[in-house]
Amino acid sequence: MQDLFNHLIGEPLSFPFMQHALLAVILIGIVAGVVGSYIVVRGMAFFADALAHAVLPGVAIAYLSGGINGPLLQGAFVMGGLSALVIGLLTRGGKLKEDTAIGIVFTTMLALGIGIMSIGGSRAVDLNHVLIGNILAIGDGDLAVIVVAGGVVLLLVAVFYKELLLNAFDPALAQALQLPGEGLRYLLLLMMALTIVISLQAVGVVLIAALLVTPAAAALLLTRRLHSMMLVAALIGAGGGVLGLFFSWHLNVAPSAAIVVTISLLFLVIFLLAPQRGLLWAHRQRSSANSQPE
Amino acid sequence: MSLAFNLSTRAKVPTTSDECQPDESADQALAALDVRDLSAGYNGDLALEGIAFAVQRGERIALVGPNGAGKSTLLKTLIGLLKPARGEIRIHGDASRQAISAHVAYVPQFGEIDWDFPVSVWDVVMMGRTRHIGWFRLPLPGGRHALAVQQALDRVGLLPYANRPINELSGGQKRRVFVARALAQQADILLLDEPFAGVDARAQDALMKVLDSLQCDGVTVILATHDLSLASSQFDRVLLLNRTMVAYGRPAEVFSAELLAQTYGGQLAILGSEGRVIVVADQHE
Repeated sequence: MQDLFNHLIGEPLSFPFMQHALLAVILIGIVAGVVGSYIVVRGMAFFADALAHAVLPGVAIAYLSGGINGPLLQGAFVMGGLSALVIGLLTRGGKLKEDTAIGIVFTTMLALGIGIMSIGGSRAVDLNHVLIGNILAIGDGDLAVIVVAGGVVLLLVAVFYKELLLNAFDPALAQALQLPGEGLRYLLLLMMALTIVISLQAVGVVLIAALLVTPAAAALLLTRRLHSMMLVAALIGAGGGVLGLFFSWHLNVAPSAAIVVTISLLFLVIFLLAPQRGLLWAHRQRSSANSQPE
Repeated sequence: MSLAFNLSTRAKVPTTSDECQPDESADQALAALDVRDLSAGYNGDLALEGIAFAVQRGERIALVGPNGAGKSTLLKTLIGLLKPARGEIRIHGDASRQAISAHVAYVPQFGEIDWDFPVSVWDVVMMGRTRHIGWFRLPLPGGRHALAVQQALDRVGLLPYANRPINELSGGQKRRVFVARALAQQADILLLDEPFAGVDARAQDALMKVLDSLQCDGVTVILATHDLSLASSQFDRVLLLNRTMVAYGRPAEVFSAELLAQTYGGQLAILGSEGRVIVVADQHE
């Protein structure tokens, strides 16, 4: 028993890089689950995915300027904010539909990012780290950034909880009550950008949307109120992250892939088994209704 | 689908407001809502032009017109979601935007709400308290905001359902949640956008009873509806709308063959005889 525990958990955790990675996936899972809950209830999954890709040029420029120790997170943050602004401008006054504007901006930014990375010559191989993440390389400095940025996001959620809830559920009432609807929208964008930035190293731009959307979507099947949805999404995000990290160690697959697939499997189980809303539950209700007609 | 019904314009229709004593202390000269030369629309296209009417405190007004007549646009302008292109809205004599948020509440059309959103009945009604609570605070359990929510829910008969998720309510209950939210806002002017669309007669009755009790408290109600017979029997005044204001007055005055034809154009067949009007309306919903 002791041996099995050592083999499964103790041995991987004897390495500092695994300890760092474990802390990182827990923190990122919590923050992404909470912010992802807003994204799922507001139907912004595509926007979140686009925003995650749009940070690439910022990361690329930062990388070319200073290598792996360059201001990667700052670059990502600036480009994410810029993309969100451009999407907002393109859709203002109904000139373009939002998903159209998102499609244009997201692919443009992704192409710019790839282009800039390719200029880097031999450094270009590291493009993979940005695209699919490199959680085993997280250092003390990265962890500090994750703690601070994640803490800021969670604090903002707590402080503006009722206003963000109202603006998500019924923006018309928020406007009628003269709450700053645009301001709350940008606050949500800011929280999304910060979450994307800290998730970047864990799963890379390609898979960030999985951390934001999948745990929250699973949580929505299990809960009936936003704050409990956030709690459950955080648990699924962090739990799936930890499990995925250990799978990656033992099965020797890329951590980002293992983390995302694990979370997807958790979602699948909940989708099938969730009380009342799960697929099997609905099926059982139907068959019991058929066998015992009232 | 067509709908036929009788409108009696000769017999005195008993309105529920007769059961309440009018508030004599109120300043009768100052209308609860005074709309002057109002025009409004989206992106420069005017959906409404030259609307002018006044509503006294505690009156119940039916807003009647075909689809696309601008009923929702008018309500959205009155609640401050749309800026008037011209004209002004005075609430108890006050034309400021603050007067609207302080006095007017809105029950949106059924389809405008995401009923699968993870909120409870309690959560939705508490949203009406957002401004009273203020920034950087959350309502305390058992505090005055919780009490206001509890009273509002009790008023519409939904207190036993406070902890239900909103998507587990019946159609009629769903409408009443938003009336409770308006009550929690402590608004004295209530705008409802087609609350009876898609509910059965019993649910309609339950909601009408709530509106009756509000009227006794001096709450002014403006309600958009397609139900002409309800508008003629249960409302103090009717506003006939089709981009402009066709008529505004007592049901007996405005439900004439001529004015209805003007309001509905070709969408309505009217058979008149001996002061009775029979209306056959095209309903496309």
